[in-house]
Amino acid sequence: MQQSKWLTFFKRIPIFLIFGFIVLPVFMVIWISFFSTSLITFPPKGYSFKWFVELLHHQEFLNSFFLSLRVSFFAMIISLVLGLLGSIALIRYNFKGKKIFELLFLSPLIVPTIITGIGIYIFLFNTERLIGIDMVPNLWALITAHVIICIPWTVRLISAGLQSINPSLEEAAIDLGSTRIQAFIKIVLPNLRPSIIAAGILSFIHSFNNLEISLMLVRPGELTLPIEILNYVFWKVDPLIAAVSTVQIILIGILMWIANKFISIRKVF
Amino acid sequence: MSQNRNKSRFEIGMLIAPTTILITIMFLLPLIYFLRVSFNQNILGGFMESAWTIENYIGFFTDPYFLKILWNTIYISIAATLLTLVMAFPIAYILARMTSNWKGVLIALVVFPLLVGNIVRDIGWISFFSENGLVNRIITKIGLTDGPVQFLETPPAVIIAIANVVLPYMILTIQSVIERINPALEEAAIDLGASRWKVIRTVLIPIAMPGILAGTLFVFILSMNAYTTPLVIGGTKVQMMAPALYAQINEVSNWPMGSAMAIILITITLLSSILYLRVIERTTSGSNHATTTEVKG
Repeated sequence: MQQSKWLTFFKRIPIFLIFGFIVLPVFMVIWISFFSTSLITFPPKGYSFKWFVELLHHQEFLNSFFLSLRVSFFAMIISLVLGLLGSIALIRYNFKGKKIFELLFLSPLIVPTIITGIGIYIFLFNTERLIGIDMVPNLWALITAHVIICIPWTVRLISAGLQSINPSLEEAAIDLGSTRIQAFIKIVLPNLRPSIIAAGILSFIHSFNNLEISLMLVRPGELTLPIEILNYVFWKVDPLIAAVSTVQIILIGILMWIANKFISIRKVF
Repeated sequence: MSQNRNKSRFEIGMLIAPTTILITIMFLLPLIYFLRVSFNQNILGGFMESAWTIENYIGFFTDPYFLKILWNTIYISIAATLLTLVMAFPIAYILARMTSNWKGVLIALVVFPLLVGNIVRDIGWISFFSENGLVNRIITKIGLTDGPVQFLETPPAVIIAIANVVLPYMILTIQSVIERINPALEEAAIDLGASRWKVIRTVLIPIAMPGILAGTLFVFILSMNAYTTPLVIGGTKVQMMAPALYAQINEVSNWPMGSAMAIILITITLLSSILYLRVIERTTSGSNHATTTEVKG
């Protein structure tokens, strides 16, 4: 008996190692952010919280953090509204070419994000020259690009939620004299709330940590957080940048925890 | 009746128009324009002239510099996919057959790194692989090498870092397939005297094969398109397509070549997917496991 216990323990070592591999980079970042010296050495000379305080003195990180929050927030709201409207059409109506629209709404997933970002830039840059209105770089172009990469997420999650709500509920309400819109607001929307919240949070996260879509579309000196981090990393990696990343890790951890309360995180991927 | 149908048509139009218009203007048109630019003529100094020429494509496939980048992209993606496959299967199997409360925690552990963003994880890899990083510190301490070994900007480091990015997708895809296979099947085989390893090899893997293949394709595409990790970990020595095409646009200011590279990357990814799906179809046709191929939404 004792022996077989040891045996199962040894059999599990590869499993532990793989899980270790999965969390290794995130663990390293959090660990380093507490190192006391700017030059990273192993083992560390000591531990300290000072980089998190120092962070508050770095205006560029604060600015990019708040820019990213703003961009992702607007992208989330817009892509939620669009995703909701699109999902209602796809799930509650039957029409010709439905498959094509479904494919269209999910298509931004297929193209590499870096190509989508550059494409939007080149396209707007040339349209700008044609019609003479400044379009890039511009905050709304940036937000719209983020909306594009969020739409597949909101469409997928809200469609799945809508599919699980029985249409006869709405029909009953309509039979009892309410309009379609009333029935939707009073019956469907409350039931759909968990899906909408989860879709919102996940599209927010997806937008917040996406670097490639913004590269061409940010204004000089007004960078999103991932780009600000990237530029710093080209120069050096130190506990300060690890602390910035740790803040991002904590933010996303909290968001994921909230999302998990509304929808099984497993269903998202 | 017909009035009702018109009304319903109007509603559908109102519902899908906003998203359709936005995706068409901000996604489809830019992509088509991208394709158009790839046939333009580049003029030194960051200008281009409207033309219909395939010289950018010819230039790409005849320049050893670009071919090396393409080759890097392909073999690194294949290696990362294989590495991922080996690591994903045991984890996926355990997660699929787990019933305890830990299951949720472990799944969160798998998904979480996916959500924190690539640049954050790359910082972890740099501190792990750099000259005074953790690995070099350990191997010099135990006397494996005299001086620090260069890990960053080498293919193995890029492969490991990319595998780390895509591993969660592979685990989740395979897990969802195994979860739908009735455990009674395995138990029956074990009751009949087969060892667990033999059950996995002869019962589980064949049934789960469509899912495994789908996950493999998905992960390969993600690796081909990787931007941040090859840029930061690969640096100038291990270049891949996505960062290289961005550099063509943004640094070299050769828009036609950058566009051609984007089209080449998308085309190669699509073609290899089609080819791969064909092969899957041929190898799994006749078997009746089609129900396990659908990937949970």
